[in-house]
Amino acid sequence: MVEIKRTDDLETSEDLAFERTSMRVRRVGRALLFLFVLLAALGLFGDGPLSHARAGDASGLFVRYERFTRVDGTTRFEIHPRVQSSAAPRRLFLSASLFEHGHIEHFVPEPSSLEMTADRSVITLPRVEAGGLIVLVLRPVRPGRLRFSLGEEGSPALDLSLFVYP
Amino acid sequence: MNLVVRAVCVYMALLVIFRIAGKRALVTVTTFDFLLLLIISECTQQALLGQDSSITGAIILVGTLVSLELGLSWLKCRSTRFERWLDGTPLVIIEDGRILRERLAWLSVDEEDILEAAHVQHGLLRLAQIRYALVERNGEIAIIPWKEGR
Repeated sequence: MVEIKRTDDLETSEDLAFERTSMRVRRVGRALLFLFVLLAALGLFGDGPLSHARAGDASGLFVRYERFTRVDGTTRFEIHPRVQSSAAPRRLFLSASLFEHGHIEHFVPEPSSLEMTADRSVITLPRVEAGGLIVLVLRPVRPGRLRFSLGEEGSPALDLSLFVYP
Repeated sequence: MNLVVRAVCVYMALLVIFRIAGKRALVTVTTFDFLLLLIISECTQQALLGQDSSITGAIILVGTLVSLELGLSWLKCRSTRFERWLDGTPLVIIEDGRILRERLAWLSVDEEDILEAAHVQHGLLRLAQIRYALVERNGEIAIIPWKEGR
């Protein structure tokens, strides 16, 4: 039960020492809240400059993606395939860990076939011209670190790492 | 994520954010504040429900939120310290007609807010007619005028 104090005729449960402490805690809390919002705007919890990541180099296969994302949100991977001389369809490899942590919402262009093995899946895409772009949109379903590899037939696989916030 | 865990996380986050915002944050609801409340409820609704729109899900969420509220009320009855951290205490801002300016700054209250409360509650015309003013635990300003004849 809160203690009631009397000042002249006025009875209150005022506690000046507590209110002084509370005000200091509130100030720290507000500073932390502003910092949180600033970091969110910069991309610590999703899309933003701190989140932009890239794997691979322009001479071969490279991927642009967001390293921070959130459960049930969507995140986009821009896959730039290596220059290919033949007109053969592209074959991309994705490690199985990706499917444990998320659902693929869509692939652009639409894959012509999908083969699943125990540790990876192979996606066959129609011909993508040099400089063309393959887009993979993923919806993460589990929080935590998501590591997976992505490769193209004839190129070394790239290791991608994301952090999925709850 | 489990609905109960979602409800607990959202409830706790809102509790901390609104405690940080201060007891006067949404005490006077202007048209814009009302819109802000609607937006906040819309944002939290998605986080609470996710993809689940079932009746069972809604009942689990409502049950969890009400249980949390009851649990905190029970804790507040048993611990003064806990009650203070959750609800704060009233704070006198005018004492015997003297404005305590340092305390006004703590709560981001100004003389205009006090005068407005004095107009509404007692039809007072001037600050000098106020003997005591307090910011209550719910954030409202309570005015106690001088007795008649002063």
